[in-house]
Amino acid sequence: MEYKEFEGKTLDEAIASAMRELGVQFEELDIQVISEGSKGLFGIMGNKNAKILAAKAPKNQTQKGDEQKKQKPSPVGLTHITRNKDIHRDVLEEAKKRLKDILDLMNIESKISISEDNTLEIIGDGSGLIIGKRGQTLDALQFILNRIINKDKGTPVHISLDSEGYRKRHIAYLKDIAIKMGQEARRTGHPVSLEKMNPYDRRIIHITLKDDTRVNTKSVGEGIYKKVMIFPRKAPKY
Amino acid sequence: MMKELIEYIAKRIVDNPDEVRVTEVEGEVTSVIELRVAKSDLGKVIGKEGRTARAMRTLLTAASTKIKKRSVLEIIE
Repeated sequence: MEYKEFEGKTLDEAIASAMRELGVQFEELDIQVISEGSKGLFGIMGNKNAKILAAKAPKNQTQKGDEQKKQKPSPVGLTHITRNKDIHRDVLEEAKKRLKDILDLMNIESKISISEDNTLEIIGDGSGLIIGKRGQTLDALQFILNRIINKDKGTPVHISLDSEGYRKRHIAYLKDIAIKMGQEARRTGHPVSLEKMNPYDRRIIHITLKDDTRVNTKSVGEGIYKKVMIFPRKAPKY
Repeated sequence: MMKELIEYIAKRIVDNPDEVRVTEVEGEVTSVIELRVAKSDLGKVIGKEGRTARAMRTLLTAASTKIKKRSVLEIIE
């Protein structure tokens, strides 16, 4: 398989040009991102083009590292984001205690309750401090807590945290973005990339659009945080 | 306080909690929290792609905002 380099002002443009030049649909492309590009200062100085290596993927080749594949066998709906049902009560109580310790050490006054779906709900002062910008504090708390709880545990558990209804709001926001950007991709006929997201958020985007036959989704990039790209299935007719 | 926060977390994610050392170098606006762990535990406090270290830094930032100070975490090898 031969890779060719493609460039564009944005990642979307680079991929669009690869699709055009190789004459293939997005699903048939094998892409490696070299540079995501940046707008630079005021869009004038130091802007860098996005660069990718792309090749036509051989038929039937499994797309590597793609969540689309993984999510298909499990008919899990959006309501089952928290897979907490089977967590033992003792584990939850321990997690609750550890979380309270951490919040106390952070000087944050809080109350924690265990909700029906076994999410630990943090009730704080309502200032949003526990949630943080784009939920990053809540995510950090959740990540560290799971690290602590899963230390020396054979089968890892996943404990979800929430505060002030943030998760629900965030899921609604992600679904909204997915639908809007899906429309945008169809309207323009060009791929649209979303901002970098963690795997859970990406999953929601993929699931929201999985039954939309007019667009495809794919995660692009390296590492934990990747961009989801939304592609119109048919090239626009000019 | 920030020192205790990092110590609490670090001790519970490493294999050798006795070798966790945390010192706080306090400045007027910024405190530097220095974390030392056993060599074999370095990966544990840093995490895959630095995720654990990043999460600890996020918590430190959130906790510091409240007391209007800045704290930075340095993991010392």
